[in-house]
This record gives sequence, C-alpha cells and structure tokens, in this order.
Amino acid sequence: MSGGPALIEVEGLTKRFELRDPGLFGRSRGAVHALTDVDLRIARGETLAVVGESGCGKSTLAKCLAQLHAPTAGAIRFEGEDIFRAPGPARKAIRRRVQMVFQDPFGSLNPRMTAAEIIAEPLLIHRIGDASERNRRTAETASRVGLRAGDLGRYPHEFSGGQRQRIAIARAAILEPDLIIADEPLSALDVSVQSQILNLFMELRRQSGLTYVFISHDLGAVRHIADRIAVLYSGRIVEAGPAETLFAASRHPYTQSLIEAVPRPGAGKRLQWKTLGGDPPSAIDPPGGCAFHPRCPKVRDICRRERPRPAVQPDSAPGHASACHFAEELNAT
Amino acid sequence: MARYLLDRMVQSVAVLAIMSVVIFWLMGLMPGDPIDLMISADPRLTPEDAARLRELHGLDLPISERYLNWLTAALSGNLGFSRLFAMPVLKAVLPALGNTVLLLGISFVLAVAIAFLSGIAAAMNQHRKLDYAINLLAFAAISIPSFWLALMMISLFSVTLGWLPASGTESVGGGGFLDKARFLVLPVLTLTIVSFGSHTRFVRASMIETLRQDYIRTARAKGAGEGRVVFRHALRNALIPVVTILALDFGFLFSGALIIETIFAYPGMGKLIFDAIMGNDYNLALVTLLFATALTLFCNLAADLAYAWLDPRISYTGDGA
Amino acid sequence: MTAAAAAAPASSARHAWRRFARHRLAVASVLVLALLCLLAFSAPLFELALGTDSERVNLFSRLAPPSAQALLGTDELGRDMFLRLLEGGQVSLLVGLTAAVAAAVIGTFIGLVAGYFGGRFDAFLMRFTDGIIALPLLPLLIVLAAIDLDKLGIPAAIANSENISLYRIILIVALVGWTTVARLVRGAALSIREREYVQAAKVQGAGSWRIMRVHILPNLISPIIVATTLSVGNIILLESVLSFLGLGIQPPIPSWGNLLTNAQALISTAPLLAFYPGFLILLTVLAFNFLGDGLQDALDPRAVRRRA
Ligand SMILES: Nc1ncnc2c1ncn2[C@@H]1O[C@H](COP(=O)(O)OP(=O)(O)OP(=O)(O)O)[C@@H](O)[C@H]1O
Ligand SMILES: [Mg+2]
Repeated sequence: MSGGPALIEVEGLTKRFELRDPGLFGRSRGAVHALTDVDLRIARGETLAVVGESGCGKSTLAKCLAQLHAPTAGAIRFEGEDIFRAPGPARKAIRRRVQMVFQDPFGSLNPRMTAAEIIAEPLLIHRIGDASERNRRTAETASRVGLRAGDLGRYPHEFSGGQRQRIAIARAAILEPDLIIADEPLSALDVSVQSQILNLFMELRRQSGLTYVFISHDLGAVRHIADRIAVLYSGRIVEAGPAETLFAASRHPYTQSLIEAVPRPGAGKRLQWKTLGGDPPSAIDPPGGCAFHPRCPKVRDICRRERPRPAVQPDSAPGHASACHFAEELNAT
Repeated sequence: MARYLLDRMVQSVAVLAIMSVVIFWLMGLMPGDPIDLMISADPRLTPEDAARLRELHGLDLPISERYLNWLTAALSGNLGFSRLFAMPVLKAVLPALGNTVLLLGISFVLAVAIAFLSGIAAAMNQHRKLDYAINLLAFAAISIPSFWLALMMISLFSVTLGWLPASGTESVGGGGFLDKARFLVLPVLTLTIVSFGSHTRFVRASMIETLRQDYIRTARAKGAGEGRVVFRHALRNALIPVVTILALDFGFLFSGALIIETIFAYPGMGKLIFDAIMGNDYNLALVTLLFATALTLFCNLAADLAYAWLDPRISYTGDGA
Repeated sequence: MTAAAAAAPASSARHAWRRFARHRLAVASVLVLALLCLLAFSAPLFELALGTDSERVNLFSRLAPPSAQALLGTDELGRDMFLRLLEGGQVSLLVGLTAAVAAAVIGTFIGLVAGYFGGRFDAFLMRFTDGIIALPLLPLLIVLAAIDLDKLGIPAAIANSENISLYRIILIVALVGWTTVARLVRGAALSIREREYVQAAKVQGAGSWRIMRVHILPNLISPIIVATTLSVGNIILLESVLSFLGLGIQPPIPSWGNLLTNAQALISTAPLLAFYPGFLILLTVLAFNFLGDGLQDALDPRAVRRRA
C-alpha cells in the first residue's frame, strides 16, 4: 500500500505555539511544542490513521496539512510541491484538493446558513459553475452522503448529529478533492451513528479513490478503515506501520498499551488506560530523553538520557518504524 | 511589578506626547490666529506690520517647527502667556486646578459611596422591589442630561427656594469655610447624581457575580452570617473590577466637570478650558487640555496599580496564553 | 454577551421575543419612543392645525403661559414652545440615530478587523480604543467642534451651508461613539473566529473578507444591535450638550440642546422653558437605555442578568 506514488510527504514538520503576554509588546513566555520533527508519507488512495491521546498534537498535524497553521519548521509537499513555499494561486489550487472534516458537526457548520448553502460554499469560493450547475452538484453530493433533497433548505440545528456530520462530509466532498483530513469525525457522535458515518467514509473512498488522513484518539475505531497507522506521542511519531502489523506486532510500549486498552469482543467492560499510569506529558516542557519514559513500564537508564529515533527493525514488516531503544526486543507476537 | 509599573508609565507618557501633537495641530485649526486678534484690536496695524509680527512670533514657520519651539519652551517651564487673563498660563491654571480637584474629589467620593451602598443593597435583594427601585434610579441618573440637571437645581434651590447660591465660589468680599461650602453644594450634588448611576450598576453586577462564586457558597454553608459573607468575602473581590471601571470613568467625570463648572460659573479647569477655547486663548487652551489629559491618564494609571494591589492572582509576571 | 448572542440561530427569534416582552420597561420604552417619533415628525400637521409655525415670532405674546393657542406657552420671542420642541425633537432624534448608526458602522468595522486578525494588530487597535476611552472627551470634542473648516481646506460653499452644523456634529459624535460597538464586536469576533465553521471556510480556501462577510458578521448581528441601541442614549446626550454649549447644532435649526441655551438666561423668569427640552432628552435617553437593556436580555440570555 505504501508503495504507490506519494500524494503528500511531510518532512521534519515542527509546530510550536509561542505563548506571549497579551498586549502590543507582550513578552514571550515559552512555547507549546505541539509537533516536533514529524515525517510522514501518504500514498495516493491510502488511508492513514493518526492516533494518540488528547493534546498529543493530532489536530495540529491535521491543521498543518490543511494549511490552517503555518509550520514552524519542516515542509509539507503535495505532489512534490512544497505547500508553504508555493505562490498564492498554487496554494489556493491545493486547498481545493485538500479538504477537512471536523470533530464537532455542530461547531463546524455556520448556524445561519442552510444545509444547501453550506454544501455549495466551496463552489462559490472557487467560482465553479453557474447557479444551476451549483444546485445540481449540491443535490448530487447531498444524495451521495445520504441526505434527503427535501431537507437541504434547513438550518444545522434542525438536523441530528449524524446528519450534520453528513453535511460536513458533503461540503468536503463536493470539490472532489484528492485528500480528506478527518479530525476525530466520529467522537462527537452517538455510538449508534458512528458506524454509519464510518461506513459513509469507506463508501466514498470506494467510489472515488479518496485518500484519507483519519484522526482518532481510539485505536480500535480506526482498525477497519486504516491502511496504515501513525501513533503520535507528545508531538512526535513514536510508531508507524501497516495497520495489521501494528496490531499484531507493535514495537513500541506506548502503542502496546493503546492496543491493550482496545475493548475486545467478549472481554467485558472496557478498562481504559489500564496499563498506562501517570499524566500525559507537558507540551510546554516535554520530558527529556524518550518523551514516554516517565510512564513507560519498560523504562531503563538510556531512555532518560537519549531520545530514540524512529527506525525500521531488520525483522519488521516493510514500512514499520518504531522510536524505542528496545524496539528489537519488543515483539508482541 | 516594577517592570509593569514602568511599562504603564512609559505608555502614559507616550499617549500624552501624542496628544500634545494632536492638540497642538488642532489649535492651529481654530478660527483666526493671534495676529488676526491683534489686528482686530488695533486697527492701525498694517498688513506689513502683521507679517512682521508673524515672523517675530515664529508663526510663519511650518507647524512641526512651531511645535518643537513650543515643546522646548514648555519643557523648560515656559508655558506661554494667557491672552484672556493677561498673566502667565501657569498662574491661571494652578488655582483652577485646585478648585477642580476639590469639586471632582468630593463628588467622586460621594458617588462611589452611594454606588457601593445602593449597589450592594440591590445585589443582596436581587429581583426584589428594592433592587428594581435602585436600578430604576441608576438608569435615570445615567440618562439625565447634566447641564439640564444643573439648570433645574439652580431653578429649584437658588431661584425658587433661595437656599443656595447659583454661581461662584464665595460671597462677595470673601467668606469663611461654611460660606465656601455653600457654593460647592449644588455643583457637587449635580456631578454626584450624574455619575453615581453607572457606578451603581457596575457594583451591583460585580457583586452579584461574586456572590455566585463557589467560595462564597462555601462561606455561607459554613454558617457565616450574611453580613459577614458580604463584607469579608465578597466585597474585596467585587471591588476588583469596580476599581478599574471607576477610574476609566474619570474622563467622563472630567467632562461632567466642564459642563457643571461652566453653568455654575465655578472657576475650575473645565470652565477654564471652555473659556480659553471660546476666547481664542490658544496658549491657555493648549496647556489646560494637556493638563486635563495628564490628569486623566494619571488616574488610569493609579487605577491599574490599585487593581494589581487588590487582585492577588495577578503577579504581572504573566501566565499569558 | 459574545458567544451566546453569536450562536443564537435564526429560529430562537420567538424565544427572544418572549424574553423581550417580559421586560416591561423595555416594552414601555418602545411605545414611548414610537410616540415621540410620531409627535416629532407630525409637527407640520400640528402647525397646520394651529395655524402657526415654529418660527413665527410674536413679540406681543412673549413668555406666554400655556393656552389653547400655544399648548406649552411661548418663548422669549413669542414662538410656540410646543412646536419648537417638536421641531427640535426631529433634529435631535435624527442626528442621534444617524450618528449612532455611523458610529456602529465604524465600530463594527474596527472591531471585526481587530477581532478577526487578532495578534498585534488587535492589540494595537485595542490600545487605541482604550486610549480614546480614557481621554477627557468633552474638552477635546469642543475643540473639534470649534475648528475652522476653512483651515481644513473645505470649500466655503460647504463650510458655510446651512446644514453644516448637522453633518459636523454627526461626524464628531460618531468619531468618539464607535468605541463601545468596537469592543463588543471585537470580543464576539474573537470568539467566533475560533469556531470550526470559520476554520472550515479557511480550509476551503475562502479569503479573509469573505469569511468576515459571510461567516462572522451575520453571527454578530445581535451584539451589534444591542450595542448600538445602548449607545444611542449616550450619543443623544453628547449631541445635546454640545448644542447647549453653542458648538453643536446651530440656530436657526432647533434642537433640544440649543433650545436650552436660551432658556438658561431665563431660568429665573421662565423655568419651564428650560424644563421641557431637558425632560424630553431625559425621556428619550432613558427609553433607549431601557430598550438596549431589554434587547440584551432577549438576544443574549446567557449574559449576566441585569434587570431594571
Ligand atoms: N492555537 C494554539 N495556541 C497554543 N497552543 C495550542 C494551540 N493549539 C493547540 N495548542 C496546544 O498544542 C498541543 C496539541 O494540541 P492538539 O489540539 O493538536 O492536540 P490533539 O491531539 O488534537 O488533542 P485532542 O484529542 O484534545 O483534540 C496541546 O498542548 C494544545 O494545548
Ligand atoms: Mg484535537
């Protein structure tokens, strides 16, 4: 899967948020290290899941990819073109091909616009078609995501959460983009509709060969949709690889604890973070050495001193890299 | 804290400097100029004389140079000569400043005292009759035109009842302390009425907000009496936002003083500014306006410091986000 | 004020109306304002009915008491006080509303830009508004009002036209009146720009102006309405005091403020002349303040409840 031509390449992506006192001449108070030195390669047609606990930088990654944040360092290349160094028109053209679905389907829809207006807005922004062409495409896209044509004149608050997320997906899909970034698109929904929306994502992918970056804090939820998984911890990728390999043969203690937290059928009540004590790391002052060391059950001296670099082990599946000093010893199988 | 204080002082000085430029420029846009006034006073002057006079007074220079000349003189203590009062500007300003500080000071203290009493009473009786009545009064006070209130006061207390004098600061031939106090009553009363309304509403809102907080509930639950809760726990915290707002209102208070001093012929800064502008006394107008600005900025600064002192949570080393 | 009003979807209009109707003083204020406007703008009808007009001087009945002929008596030149008040009301109301709308437009623009772009630009603009709010405004306004338009290079034909004092006062008052609206709009814009639908529009490639126009401004209507209403009162007060001091609306155009100028000299002989115009100002300003308070309760239910 990872062998196809790269749609997006991320290289050394780093994002820091300067904290500064309010006011005109506010002084700097350090920075949040939201992302550090992230490398990723997403092939066309592939679905990459990014998982990690709250505050690890998932949304920041999504927003960098969607050009909502300018990175502090590093590059994001879309079909080889460096997005943040491209001239304005080229960036706008890339925007058209990269769309995003947000977590909160209520917050991401303007309460004063009807469903039809929301879905059609990208066409207006990019000045595509005349009014009748836009109407046609809006109706067509709406039906693809399972919205009834008769409902399109309504306002967001008149829809259920699942339907609202369908509107948001239709808005992302109407430009027929190459890439859709979905930032926890299920977690604000009722459990009963989560699988419907997940199926919708898979259906759209089947129809038009979309590429997804699918973000979740729940490893179990992405198992069925992801081709590859990247695990983010404290703003860094600690493990990445083909989805099945990761589940079967993870080589990072953090991923392993996430897998253990995934409820198995028949395993009774879910015990989340059973094996993972301690607090998530500070983003302002991340731990030295391996960022995971304060919580790692397998911690040793070197972990406190040296930061492990992501590496592929000789006996790993292709494309399976882990940033742990003891990756070769950790083989869950 | 010291750094913060310094920052704020630098800012205030910067604002004052900017305002001095703006006001200087505006003065140049006032009708006529000093030489025109001389000509109209002395018809024998020829246009050639006028041109010479202009040159003599540096009035033919570009405005930037005139400003710098003025600034250099002002900084060395020479604020110019008042045409209207025929004396150095500073000599005209200082007594007026004293009178205004007296008027504003008394009114401010009274307005704040009334605002606290009525604001707290309203907050403690939220949605009851007393609350409604206080709110109604506060709204009326906010909405009343100050110059009209002054006229009505004169009409009632000076003309109809004859109890109090309508203008000036003391009886002809001078008077004692009581005599002077009688002259202050109406201006102070008017200024107090027009300013207590908004203060009352702030105190009330702030108090209601504080009384809702958890630690107040805790104090109540522990059996502290209502009076104790209000005065020991709530007041200090309610005070914090109020202090800032009161000081921000100082500009408003000064505007009120201008109107009221003018109507009651009370020789303070407000009346001086008005007379200077209306009488084309440029030197005096410039200096009085700057004094008024400086006074307001100083009060804002003081409020900021009071705020820092009252609010233990703010360290001014920052927790920015 | 910010978040709640911004999120209120169109359908909550009925709830808002119900909350507003509960605010009895606000409802009464609407009636009072409607009545005042109706009276002021039907002045020509009264003139017709009374067979006189507000400018007719009658030196034989100066300072006359109220009568069937002159409902509120006459002024020092024998002019009908009732008609003068109506005419003055037209001017004061029109100037007040126009200036408030102008101030709201300026304030909305500044607040929107500051709130949306944020950062140092916002910090700078807010410093600027802070600075303006902190200044002793009235003295500075008096200077502005006294400026010689010739020296600003304004053609004499305009500078000396009859209505120049109207435009001038509107401009001056709007110039300082925008700060309230600007702060409110800025606060609301600051919170709305973080909404995901704004982020979504950015992802789609929408430009800043489109986002402000389509996504932010329509969600700010409630706070803008409230702030504008609340500022009308202040603006009318400001206009009237400048006119009273002889620096606002110039006779022969009557306004409530300049009607009081003449009355001041006659305060001992004809106190009622001074009473009427001021009372009407008070009534109008009070009504606008109650109305604003009611609108705030109605459109912004989550704000701290402040009831009068
Ligand atoms: N605009 C910002 N300014 C300052 N800090 C920010 C900003 N956005 C995010 N952060 C910080 O960056 C870190 C990563 O945030 P991010 O939103 O990417 O996490 P996340 O993985 O998406 O978490 P969640 O699961 O809660 O959505 C957090 O510590 C967050 O507080
Ligand atoms: Mg997130």
